[in-house]
Amino acid sequence: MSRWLTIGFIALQLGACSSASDADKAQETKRVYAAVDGALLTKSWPVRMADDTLRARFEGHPGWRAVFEQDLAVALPAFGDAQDGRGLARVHQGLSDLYRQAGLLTASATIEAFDSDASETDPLELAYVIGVSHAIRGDYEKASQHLGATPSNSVFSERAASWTAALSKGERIPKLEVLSEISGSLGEVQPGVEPTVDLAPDAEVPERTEKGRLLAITDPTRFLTRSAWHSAAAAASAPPTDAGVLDQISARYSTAPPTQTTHPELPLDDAWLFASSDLVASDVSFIAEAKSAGIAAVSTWSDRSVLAAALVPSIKDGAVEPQAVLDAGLALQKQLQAMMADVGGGEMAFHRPFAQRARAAVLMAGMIVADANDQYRDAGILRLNALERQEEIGMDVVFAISVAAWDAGNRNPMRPEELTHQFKSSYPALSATRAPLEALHLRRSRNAGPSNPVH
Amino acid sequence: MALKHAIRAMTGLAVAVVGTGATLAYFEESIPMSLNPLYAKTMADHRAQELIFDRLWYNDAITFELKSRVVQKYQLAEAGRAVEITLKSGIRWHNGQALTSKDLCFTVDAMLDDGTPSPVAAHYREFIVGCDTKGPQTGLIRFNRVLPKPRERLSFPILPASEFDSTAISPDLQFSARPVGTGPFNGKRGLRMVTMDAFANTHHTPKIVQMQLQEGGDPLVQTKTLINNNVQGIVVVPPPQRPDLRASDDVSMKSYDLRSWWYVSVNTNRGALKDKRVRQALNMVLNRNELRQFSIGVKPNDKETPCEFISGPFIPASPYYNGEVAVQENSNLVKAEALLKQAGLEKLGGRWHMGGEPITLRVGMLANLDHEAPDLLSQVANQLGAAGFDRLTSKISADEWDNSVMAGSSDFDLVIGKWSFGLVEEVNELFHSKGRQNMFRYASAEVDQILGEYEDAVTDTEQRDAYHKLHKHLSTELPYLFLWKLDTRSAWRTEVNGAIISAYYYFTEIDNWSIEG
Repeated sequence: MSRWLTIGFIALQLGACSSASDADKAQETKRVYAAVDGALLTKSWPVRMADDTLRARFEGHPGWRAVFEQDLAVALPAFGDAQDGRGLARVHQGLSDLYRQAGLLTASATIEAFDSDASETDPLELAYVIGVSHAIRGDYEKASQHLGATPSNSVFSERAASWTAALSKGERIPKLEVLSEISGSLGEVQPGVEPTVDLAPDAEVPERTEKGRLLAITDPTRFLTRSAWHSAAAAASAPPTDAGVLDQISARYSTAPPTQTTHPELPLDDAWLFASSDLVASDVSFIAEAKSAGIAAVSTWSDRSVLAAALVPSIKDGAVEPQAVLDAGLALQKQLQAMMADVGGGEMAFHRPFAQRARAAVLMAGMIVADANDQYRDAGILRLNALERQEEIGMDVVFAISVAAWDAGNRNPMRPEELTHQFKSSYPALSATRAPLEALHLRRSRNAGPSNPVH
Repeated sequence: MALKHAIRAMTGLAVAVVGTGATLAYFEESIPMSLNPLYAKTMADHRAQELIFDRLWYNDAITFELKSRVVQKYQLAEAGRAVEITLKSGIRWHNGQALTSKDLCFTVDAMLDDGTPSPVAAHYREFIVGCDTKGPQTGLIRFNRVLPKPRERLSFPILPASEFDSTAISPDLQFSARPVGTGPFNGKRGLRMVTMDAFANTHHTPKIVQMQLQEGGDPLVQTKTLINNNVQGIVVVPPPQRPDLRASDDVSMKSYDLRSWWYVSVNTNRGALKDKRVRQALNMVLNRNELRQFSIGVKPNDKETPCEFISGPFIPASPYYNGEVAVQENSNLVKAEALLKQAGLEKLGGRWHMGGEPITLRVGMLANLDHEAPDLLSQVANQLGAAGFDRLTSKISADEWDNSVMAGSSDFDLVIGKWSFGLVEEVNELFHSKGRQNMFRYASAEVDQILGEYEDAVTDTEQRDAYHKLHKHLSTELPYLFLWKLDTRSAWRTEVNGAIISAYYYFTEIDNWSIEG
């Protein structure tokens, strides 16, 4: 809260003090950093929000303040109280994305710990969570195989049967009703609240050793259920006119295998864009399309999407050049700051954090395009750089957990442990990711080269 | 022959110089104590050695994939009790000689030689039993058992056989200051700087011509020097300096995955400190919230703090951390006083006495830690003084730390330090009565037994449970007063491209680093 108020206060001071020489400097800066066509950039939320009248709608509102601070946990009740449908829908959608990514994180850690590094002492019941994990990662053959191997007398046998039935009907991820039957109901969908969190593991089963120590098991289904619950809450909160918007917005963090589809440009209220990683409405469509089309989407959308336009110089010989994307991000930040100074009548303290978000958004867009272009490592470079840039402005929990999920898929438990630890007090449901991450860490550590503590 | 090698070595340097590189100067926590990988004792040692040597296998800094720059191919042999490794041809040492299987087996033999007093080598002796050359580029490393994933364990740097007279390698050889590796840089240590010149090789093409490692002094000066572009990077940026650097568009803050925790180690063999009630009282005397605020600059209610209190020898995100053991955040002087009286101490004239003599605590801190946690030593001393203890404080040089404190021959009562870890967070060497890094020779049969349970664990769960038990036990025994974990952040100028920082080892991907302009 204090940061938001400070921004407003400093903005007034700097605005009052701006002079002709400041304006000259801004002009000079603008010439140097012309990353994207200026006419297109004027439509972006950072530039428009440099206008006091347009920004007024978001200032002073506790929900939007929390959105600006990337704090979905605080934003949720704030929007619930204020009955702001779009704000509430956006937060629920964010939470849905968050728990979908937490499900992916749990799935990847489970597979790497208990399937790739399986031990003969592992409880047989693990077959169920390994099966669910493969389903979440889109490997339905392995999913069916492991689900079928769940012991019939196991605590998970009914859950395995439900998952098997859903997969046999072609449901890649079951609907909320089925998920609730599997992992337990979270109660009636009620916008504005977070369902109660059960911190207990889904089961504790003995290892197949003489000591028979209990192994805590997390069923990733619990995250899918929570994600579907929030998705339903988002749909219930959004105005009927915005029905298609949620589908398009949710594409960014979708875990479903990408399918080649084109996306229309939807008219978006500022509530969907403010302080987000989509700078203009077309960015939402571009990102949704880039998930599958990759580089082709950049050329398709570069005349309408700021993010696509920013990425154009980074595409060379059919590939994304990570360093060029990093340069494009910084250039866009500078260009935005110069334009915001023009609109706002001088430099103001909030301009830089707004523009820094745009910089991180370019890196994330480059990451999505590189991923779709089979540039796995290059996408990773951009992913980690985007995370670092976010550390400077307040980390987006959804993106952070998506990075954690990616790391877990790479068999790296350390960063995911840190990230989930950082966010678990605000999002207690994330605590359930700990058990499979611990297992991955312990198994990797036992096989790693020796090292000593050093000072 | 020697002339031929010298010419080859010179050519390697020349190729790099002719490239488009430039000099990269950066501040380190300290000048490395040793550039010999068998004797890495500080993180500065590890980071510098990563520039000079190739490890047999390493993890990609981005994808975590297990890779090797020196291995052409490998295969398991002898029913899983050995691995046959064929090294790439054409790789040259910095002295111009070719890398061969002789070097690989020499490295293994050196680690197995009892005359090599290396703590790192001691761990390898637990599962490697020998190495035989099978041809100029092929060697067979044998284990004492079947290892599930042997490559993951073989992450040691390779040493040049030609530079040593014997497989018994001592830490005081010239090699520790002027090493010869196959890594991207050929380094030599001076008193105040380590310079490393690029060495182009078949497996390394560094774009930077020279790396200059400088000892970081006053953090404020380091920050100004970086902003003014007189150096290009700072490896460890203390929390108070981070906002200034974040405010600059010319600098990028970089994450560095390193698990570090801070402590006050207690000499359990001296005077009143032999009594655990006295140690528990000291734990109650410390007001960690104030220490953190005045030293690191983190206030009690700050969100997203880089510094989090701990109650045992692990960071809170670690699987080994026992979350059920409470943290002592604030002081409790009433309880401390009661404990001290139970232990037979008397408070006379506001000062604690034992046997009629006033207690004076000799408190030390590794000197370079004062940059990361300014004034921590005096803050701790002030709190002890306010609680009624006389104290003598001193900052400990790196040499004194190594030769006296870690050798167990210092006369300190309390020392403030920091331990850093990577993926492996084993603490047995710190707390076992025979541990090589047990600085005050703390001995507890119960702790030894718990550490034995950890060693003998059949499953991960058993291993984790053993360390949870250790954490709980140490929180009452208190051979250490645990302070906090502190995140590490680096800062590099934006002109430095491709600056990917590897977890723990840092410079693993240095070949991709370059400087604009």
